[in-house]
Amino acid sequence: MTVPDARARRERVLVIAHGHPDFATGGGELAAWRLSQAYREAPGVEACWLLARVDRGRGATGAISLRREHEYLWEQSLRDWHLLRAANPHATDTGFVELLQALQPSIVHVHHVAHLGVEMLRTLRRTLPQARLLMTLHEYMAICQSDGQMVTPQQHRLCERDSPDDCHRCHPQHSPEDFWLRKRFLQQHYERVDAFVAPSEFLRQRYIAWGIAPERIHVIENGQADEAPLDTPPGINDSTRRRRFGFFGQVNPYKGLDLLLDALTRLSPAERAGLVLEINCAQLEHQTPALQARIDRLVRPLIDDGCVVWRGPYRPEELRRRLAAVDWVVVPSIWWENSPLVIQEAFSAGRPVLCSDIGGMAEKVRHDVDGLHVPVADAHAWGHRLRDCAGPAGAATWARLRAGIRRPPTHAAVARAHLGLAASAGSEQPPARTPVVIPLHPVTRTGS
Amino acid sequence: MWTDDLLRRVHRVRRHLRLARPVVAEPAPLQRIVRCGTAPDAPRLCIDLVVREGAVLLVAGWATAPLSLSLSLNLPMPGQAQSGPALAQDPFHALTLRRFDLERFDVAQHLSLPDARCGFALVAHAQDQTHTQAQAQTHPQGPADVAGPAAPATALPLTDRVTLHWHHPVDGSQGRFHLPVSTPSPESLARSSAAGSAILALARQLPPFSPLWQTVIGRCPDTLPRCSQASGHLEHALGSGLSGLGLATGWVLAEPGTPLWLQADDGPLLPLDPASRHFRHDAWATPGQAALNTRAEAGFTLSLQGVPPGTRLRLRALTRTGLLTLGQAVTAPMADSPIEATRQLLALDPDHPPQARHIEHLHGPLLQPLVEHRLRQLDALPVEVLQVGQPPEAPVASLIVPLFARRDFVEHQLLSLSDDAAFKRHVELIYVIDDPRLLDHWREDAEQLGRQYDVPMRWIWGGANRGYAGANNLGAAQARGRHLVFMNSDVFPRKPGWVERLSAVLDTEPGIGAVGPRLLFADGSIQHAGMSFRWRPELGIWVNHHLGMGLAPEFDPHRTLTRVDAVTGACLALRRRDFDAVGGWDAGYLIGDFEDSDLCLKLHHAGLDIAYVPQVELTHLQRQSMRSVGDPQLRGFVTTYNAVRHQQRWPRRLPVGADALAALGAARASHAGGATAAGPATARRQLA
Repeated sequence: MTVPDARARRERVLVIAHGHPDFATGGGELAAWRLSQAYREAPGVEACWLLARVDRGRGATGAISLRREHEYLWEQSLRDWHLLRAANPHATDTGFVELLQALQPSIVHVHHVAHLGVEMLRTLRRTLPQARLLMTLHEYMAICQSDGQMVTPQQHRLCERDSPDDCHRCHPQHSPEDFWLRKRFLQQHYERVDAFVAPSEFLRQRYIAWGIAPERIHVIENGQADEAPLDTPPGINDSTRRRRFGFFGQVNPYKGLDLLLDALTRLSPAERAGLVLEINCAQLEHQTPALQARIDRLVRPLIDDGCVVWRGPYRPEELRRRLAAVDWVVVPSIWWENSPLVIQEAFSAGRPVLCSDIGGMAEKVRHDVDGLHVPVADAHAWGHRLRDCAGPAGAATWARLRAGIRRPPTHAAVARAHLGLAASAGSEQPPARTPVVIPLHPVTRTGS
Repeated sequence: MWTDDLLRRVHRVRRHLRLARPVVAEPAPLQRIVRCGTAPDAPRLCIDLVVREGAVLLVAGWATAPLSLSLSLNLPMPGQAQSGPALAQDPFHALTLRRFDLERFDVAQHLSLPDARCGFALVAHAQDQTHTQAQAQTHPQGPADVAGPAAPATALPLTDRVTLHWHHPVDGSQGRFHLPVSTPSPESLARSSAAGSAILALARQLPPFSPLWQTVIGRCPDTLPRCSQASGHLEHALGSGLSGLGLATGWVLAEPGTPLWLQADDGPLLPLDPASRHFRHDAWATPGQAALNTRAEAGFTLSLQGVPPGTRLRLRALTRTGLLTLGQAVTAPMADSPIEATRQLLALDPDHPPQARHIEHLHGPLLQPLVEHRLRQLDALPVEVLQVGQPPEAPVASLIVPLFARRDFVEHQLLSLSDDAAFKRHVELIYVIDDPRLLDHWREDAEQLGRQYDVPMRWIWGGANRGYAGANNLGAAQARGRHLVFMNSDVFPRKPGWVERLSAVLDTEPGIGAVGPRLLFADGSIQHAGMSFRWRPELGIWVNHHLGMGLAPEFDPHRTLTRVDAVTGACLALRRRDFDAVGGWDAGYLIGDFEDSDLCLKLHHAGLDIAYVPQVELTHLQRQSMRSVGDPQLRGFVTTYNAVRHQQRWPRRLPVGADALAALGAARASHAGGATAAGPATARRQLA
């Protein structure tokens, strides 16, 4: 299908995010910020602003303030995670409206309603009837009240689909009728959106099953910085083993760090001789005491053994250096994931990925092409996989997988894809019958 | 109801009365039940009660036939003995009576009477010289007044004997009985259940809270506490020793039509009808209240008058079975300080902070006298003035800065002002300390800062925290400039010459009464670009809305001098003579808020406009100058109190309720035709 040339019009873009990377460490905040930068530099864009939620610890005052030129902060919150409603709806109808009327965006790109509230979708549509409203879905929050993970909160069982009865079992404080109302409420609000963006086909299918029409939801991957892949880890040549594994990201029950540590613990000292897992993580202190204790108990003997190195948190600009120190990147998540930023970052750096065989992970990592799948939540399988990858045969596997990596799209490419989507969403032509899938860049094989 | 004793007496009388007896005027005190006439089916009459309560004479009883009744006073003939047959021909001093027909189910049931309305109560005002004519004023007509000699109620000495005259309308028989007047104690009255029933029945007939009613209920028997017709509790009572006003809170549920009131010991009786009512979940959810839940709003808040601290108050109800005391409390003293009193009021019901309508009718009248008292106290305090350096000879303008909570901003302000030569020549600088916490070494520090920055200034300490308005008025009293510029301590000039530019507006635009600059937050976004009045229907108040707050300055639709509803007191300039003409800042607000818009409305009322000049910019940190005392509930109350007072003072400009929406529509229409005609997009392109 032909996409009207985005360069024909001068767009004014407003990106709305649930957090700002200056204050929050999540990948979603960073992705939104980087996208807003890319929009600003894209052809056909007159101006781009970012409105990011901030929590100054004094409640949802609703105040909007200026962070730096083109970046606003909004002190908003949710009062109700069941219906995703704002704590300060008055602000959504006053200060937020004033901002929209002042900026007059032609495209509004919403990432997340978490911490901001679904009311803003109605307000956006009412205040800017001509603007195109895009929304990127980063998780399954509209489908699942368990933090949008689609994993049961108690036993961490994977969940395929929502239903009033099943959701009630996970959250007994809400009746099945409450869940029917929730779905209707969120679907009605989501009706205001012109086009949805899913970073993975897996997530797209989940939302189609939930009720979004297939022609309204499109796959556009998260972008990465336009940088060359890293060299192979220094000081090691191909004939030796690839024994260094890196875990990157937040520590929460769904990321599977404790599972990984358990896996290492089950290996015999001989099996894990020389194997090193570098843990680059944040937010351990925000987890439940039970999880913190469990990880602590597992990790101490491994650290003593020299099998685990705890590198702790890292700033975004430190990531490449940390990636440079490892051979493999491990993503042992026990939930579906969508499009984990760490996978894109690993590929951008030229590092094969070991991940669970479900959901978005299994989509982004092609088994035996640019990484390897491991049965989800299977500590034994993880242990064997790590052992084999660190073993003598692992080196050749590593080289082959590294060669199979495709470079993720750049931020600029992703921004252009979004602008193209916005143009078609607002055009007179009927919506595309097939979803618009933005192809990734062709492989550029650098020295392996 | 029917005691055994009474039953025996009734039976005895009935047996007695079967003997025919001639009708004579009984010289002896009446037995309780008598026969009216000699026929076997002659009607029976029973007098339960003959009492004198002050100037009211009350005779209550029942009769088995509809008899006509009247009363006369017995007065001894001069020289005559008190008792004896000579009383047969008494001077006939008739009294005007009111008669109430009462239902006596107890009698009707026992005697198998067809009609329960066999009871009666005769009320006469036996006036003596000490009671005024007002006592004779009767209330809405009760049932058939007695046909008696229509002699006017004359002022007669009180007597201890009355005569009851009866007349049977059917067969024409008539007669009379002498009754001793007693003033039985309430206890003996309570023991006599029949008398109590009569009194109670009478009380329920009378219009509640009328003077007669108030007399009668003093005689009503008490009922058992576990009465199903009413329940409740008196929880708090506050009274101001200063104003005599107060507040009582509690909850009560009662059958419809039950009189409810607060009774002060030796004090007024306060009906509960005018109280403000609200929903009480605990009262509503109590088991057993279902029958009483005709009214969902069990909670009450009642304004008190004439109830000084220390008064004991009782919450009472008049039920079908007697007087019920639901609870009692001693009035606690309300603080003299308006803020302390506010805290006390909020503590009465922390879960339900008062809304605008409550504040308007309940809390406002309570706090107003305290505020005025405080202002009088403040007026009497001595004022200390310190002049540092040599002030300008004939200043064009006086810059007045009140200091609260922090003094460290002064140095940062002086930093800008010290480089402004024109400022030092033409503007006198006045700092007003409005906070006793800032008194430490203030003189030495002031001198030192004056030397360091070479800026002359005057420092004033007024002896107490006066609030925003009071502190500014104090500064103005010391000012000599023909223009006054009021500024918060956390406002910092960005460029020199800002005072001149504001002054220039006042000099060149005679139609403008006050002018304010654009203020920016520390992050560079708009903090103030003029204010407009907005109606918040869910709160019932008009608020001062800051246009464009938080946006980058490029989105301010105004580029040049613009007339606005109001400008902020954080930086406001006006002429001295206009300031004096409108009486300066109004100090009746609590702590601080709405005084700036109040001043602007005063100027507007005097025919002057308010102007905003975007070309003059200063930085306002704003977080610090919120004159709050920390507690969000108190802040909320103070804001609402001030807003209510504000709109009460300016009802034409700020009408409440349905009128508010009409006013809002008109304002929107004029606004749409004005500044936003060239929208922000146009303004931006002009800038580019």
